[in-house]
Amino acid sequence: MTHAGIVLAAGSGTRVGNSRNKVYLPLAGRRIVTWSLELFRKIPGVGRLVLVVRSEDRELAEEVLDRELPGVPVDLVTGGETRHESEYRALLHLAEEIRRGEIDVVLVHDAARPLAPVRIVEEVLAAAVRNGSAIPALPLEDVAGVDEAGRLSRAGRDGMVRVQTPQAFKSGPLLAAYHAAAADGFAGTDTASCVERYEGVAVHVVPGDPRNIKVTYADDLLTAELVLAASGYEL
Amino acid sequence: MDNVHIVVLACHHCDGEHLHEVTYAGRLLASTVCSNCGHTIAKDLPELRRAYLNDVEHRVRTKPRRMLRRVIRHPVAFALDLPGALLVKPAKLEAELRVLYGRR
Repeated sequence: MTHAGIVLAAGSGTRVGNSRNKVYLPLAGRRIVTWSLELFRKIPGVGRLVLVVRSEDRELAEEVLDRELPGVPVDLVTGGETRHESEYRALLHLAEEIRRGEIDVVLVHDAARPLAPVRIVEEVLAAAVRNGSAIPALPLEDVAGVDEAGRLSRAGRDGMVRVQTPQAFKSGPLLAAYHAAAADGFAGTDTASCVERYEGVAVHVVPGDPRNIKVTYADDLLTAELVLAASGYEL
Repeated sequence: MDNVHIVVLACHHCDGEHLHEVTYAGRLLASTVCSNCGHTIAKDLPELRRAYLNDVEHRVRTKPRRMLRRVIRHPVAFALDLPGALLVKPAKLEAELRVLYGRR
């Protein structure tokens, strides 16, 4: 039995005119998406890799994989309109193996998070094997609530976290949750919300990492390059 | 890889998501420019030049290995692409040097 890693690159940002999907931007000599896939390659138990792409990016994705991850088997799946739909399509791609009991845990990761440390993957994976599901998250320390009178309030803020990826789930309940969601027409904001809703699985939280940024702003690119350089990658 | 890429990114300066021109010197990020407000984030040029030289040294050192890998995997495509790749190399290098010595 193995684990599967799904990298979502189908919904990464808006696209205008002839602009490119940001996950195919070079970063320290490789594309952002390559760093995200490479993360799973470093985990010995992850034997299946799936990259979810937009149909118009498929050719580029094939070229990038051939150049930057030669010999690494990565299945390409065309994503849907939403993150939820893209996840479902990736799960349907793995459905037969899941039904045969060949895949234990499925890890779902945003392609736009190229800096996720191996430590996070190992911890969410171990927690999912033990408990059924796990997500990385950081405590929200810099937010403040405001009450109805416009005064600063601490109510309701305790225990709030900022959720990151990769998120890990036992494959059977995950697939069942997405089948049920499809039947209901429900689209969750992230993988955990769907599993919680349909399988009643309590999602465990492991410590995230502040370096695990999602490339969103222009300056995130420079930050990401600096982090990669600092971690010993030769630029 | 091209040295200028157009992508949609969020801008801290004018808010919202807008087209950005992302420029590279070789494999190194050089600058980003927001098409909506012109906000530019650029690396310090002397520092970028130093990093570029180190990177070029690394690229030259690893080129034989990378070429060999491609020959083994795609011998026909390699043979067909090689003349074209050699022809465009000077222009690529010139574009990189333009980023480093005459900020585009």
